[in-house]
Amino acid sequence: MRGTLLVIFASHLTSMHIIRNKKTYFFLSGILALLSILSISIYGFRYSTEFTGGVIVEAFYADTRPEKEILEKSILVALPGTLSVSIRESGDQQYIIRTAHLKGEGERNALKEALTVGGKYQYEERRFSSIGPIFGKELATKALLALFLASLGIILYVALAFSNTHGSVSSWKYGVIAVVGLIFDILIPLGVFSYLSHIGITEIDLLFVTALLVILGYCTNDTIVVFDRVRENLRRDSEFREKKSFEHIVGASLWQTLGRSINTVLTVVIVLVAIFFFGGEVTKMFSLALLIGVISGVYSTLFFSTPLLVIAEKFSKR
Amino acid sequence: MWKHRLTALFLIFFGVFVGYFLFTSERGGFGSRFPFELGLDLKGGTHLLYKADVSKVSKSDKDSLMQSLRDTIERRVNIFGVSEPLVQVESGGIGSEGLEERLIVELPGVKDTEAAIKMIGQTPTLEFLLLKEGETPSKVAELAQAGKFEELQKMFIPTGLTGSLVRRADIEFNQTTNEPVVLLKFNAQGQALFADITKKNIGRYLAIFLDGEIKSIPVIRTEIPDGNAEISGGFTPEEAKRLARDLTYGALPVPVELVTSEVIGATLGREVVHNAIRAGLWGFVAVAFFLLFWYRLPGVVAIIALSLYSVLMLAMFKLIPVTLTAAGLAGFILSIGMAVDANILIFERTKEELREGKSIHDALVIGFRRAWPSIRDGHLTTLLAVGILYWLGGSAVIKGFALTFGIGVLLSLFTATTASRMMLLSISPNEKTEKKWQRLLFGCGVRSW
Repeated sequence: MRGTLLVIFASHLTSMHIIRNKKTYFFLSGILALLSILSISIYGFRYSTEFTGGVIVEAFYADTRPEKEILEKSILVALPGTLSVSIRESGDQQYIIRTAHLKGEGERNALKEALTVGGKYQYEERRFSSIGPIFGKELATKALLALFLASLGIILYVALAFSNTHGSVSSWKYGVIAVVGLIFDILIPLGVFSYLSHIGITEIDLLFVTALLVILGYCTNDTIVVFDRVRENLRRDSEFREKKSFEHIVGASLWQTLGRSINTVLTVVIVLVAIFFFGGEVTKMFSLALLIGVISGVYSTLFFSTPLLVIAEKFSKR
Repeated sequence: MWKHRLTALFLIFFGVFVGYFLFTSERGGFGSRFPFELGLDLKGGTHLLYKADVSKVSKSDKDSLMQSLRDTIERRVNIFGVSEPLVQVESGGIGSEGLEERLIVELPGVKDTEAAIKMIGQTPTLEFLLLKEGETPSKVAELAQAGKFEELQKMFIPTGLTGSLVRRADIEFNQTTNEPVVLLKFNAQGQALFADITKKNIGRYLAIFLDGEIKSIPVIRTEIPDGNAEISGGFTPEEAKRLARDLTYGALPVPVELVTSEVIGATLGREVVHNAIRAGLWGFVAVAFFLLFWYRLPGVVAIIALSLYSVLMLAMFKLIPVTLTAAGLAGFILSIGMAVDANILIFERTKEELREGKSIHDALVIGFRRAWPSIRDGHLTTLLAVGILYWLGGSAVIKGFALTFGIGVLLSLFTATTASRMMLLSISPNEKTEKKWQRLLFGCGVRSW
């Protein structure tokens, strides 16, 4: 048995299973990607205050917490110009309140006063952030630039590392395919989080962008291990003049690295689940994003990027 | 063989020693001068971000002005009495409207943001005060040294001459003594007032206070009707330059605007640390069980290597030192998961070689050699992404994460390739006397090989 997950399918599994059925898996990947794109284009993203600018307050009510509606009314009265106030429960005793940007000390104090609902409720101010909108725009630009540069760097590195690979697939194609797989790995969490932010569970914040970059780094690692094996097997093939088909070599490489792929992802998943359940509120959504990314990463390595190598080889031959 | 055993033993002892260092340094014993540096989000406090308006400043002056802004703000923060404040200048604004100069102020433990904002953003207080008759500059210096500022204040009489009346200040060198002096030029109102004061008080001392701190006490030698003043008195050129700068630009050399303010309560921070420790422990235990179950003896080795990795990471945080944030802690915990990967690659490769009938020792050596390119390429690409993250990160959250994660990736390269390898080689049985049960111990957890 190669991995616990696959035990049910073991009877169907031969080393060439994935490669032979690549069209089915491309179809599945396509549907997943399409769903993500649909979610993103329909729901878009709800950005956190870090990006849009505004005020976040975490108010902890030790004794009794006011009703959400009462609190909202109190805030809207205190800040007449404000159109939107978002109040989210966090635990049993805490609210996270978000409003648009406040001007000066007067409005800040008015908000603080409103949180006591005319002095009826006492709260502990665990966090009071007021973030300027210009700063947020810059963060978004930088994040996009970072994603772009990381992809470029990965293509270059892979192209360089695979430059002495035998066979008809040129080394830069390995890099491009790795990045195509990475786009998939990023698309899936983006789609899920677009939906989650739509139903109000989470928002797109800085930690989410960080998570995307980690997924990028981690999933490259995942893909490269399989590609490394392909490279090694190609070298062996040409040394021993075995003349196996490229398709066969890719299938064998995938099969040989399967145990590692699954076990590695399992350990990372174990750690992420620990962070999700025990790491507290701050890193909960961060670990969820990574969880989705890492799982789609191992999926795309096995069922998308590696089979894509075979397609690339067929095109190169023509 | 014995070389491997010695190296492995040394590494284990080293790990135990580092662990001991961590333990005692947290209990106030040996090494306690290396505490964990907690970021503001874990410690609680106030974080302020200002935008500096440098649009009217020439490019060549910009850096020195920002430096002077930093110094000024730091002086004010110090008066505020905060322990370990952080004041730093940052250039930002990639892609948007050109470069933007920013000032970051972090005040650990400060909860009253409004007071802090007032304190930092206040208008400059440059004052000219007349020393009372009978008092001497040496006594002033004595009191200033002793920090008795209240008594010091009582020795002076206000004159009404303040920084708002100075038009500009320059540094010059006295032609005979070659000593640096600061030249002041008052505006019309200041000129009249200054002439009046100097006329009436020849021979007395006129002290210059900046932000409540005494800057110099020049003596009035003659009446000065033209609004030009010269301050001399044993300056180094550096000091004179700074004084001229402070006088010309007031206390804040460039106008600043508060962009972002953030207060984090200390309870929230404590909770985050507590949660991170809990998540780290659970994650570690779960991974350890998995490794033990799946890889048997090599699994034990991996657990030891992982422990070594963890204590080394924590020691690095203390010694470098790395400022730990919530995201940084998550990065560290996540890197434990990644550190296992290198071990798994090696073990899986070794298992393949064992399956082909090689001896345990040979399988280990070949397994390592074959796994190495994958480990190297995987780690380097991850490092690449982390490096870009750190470089472009912008915010402390991302930088903190990238830093701990990056150190983790580098360190895991070391522990997997050195520690795991040495330990495994040192317990691998002799090829000729290899037993079946030994192969079983090195084999996979579920299958018999």
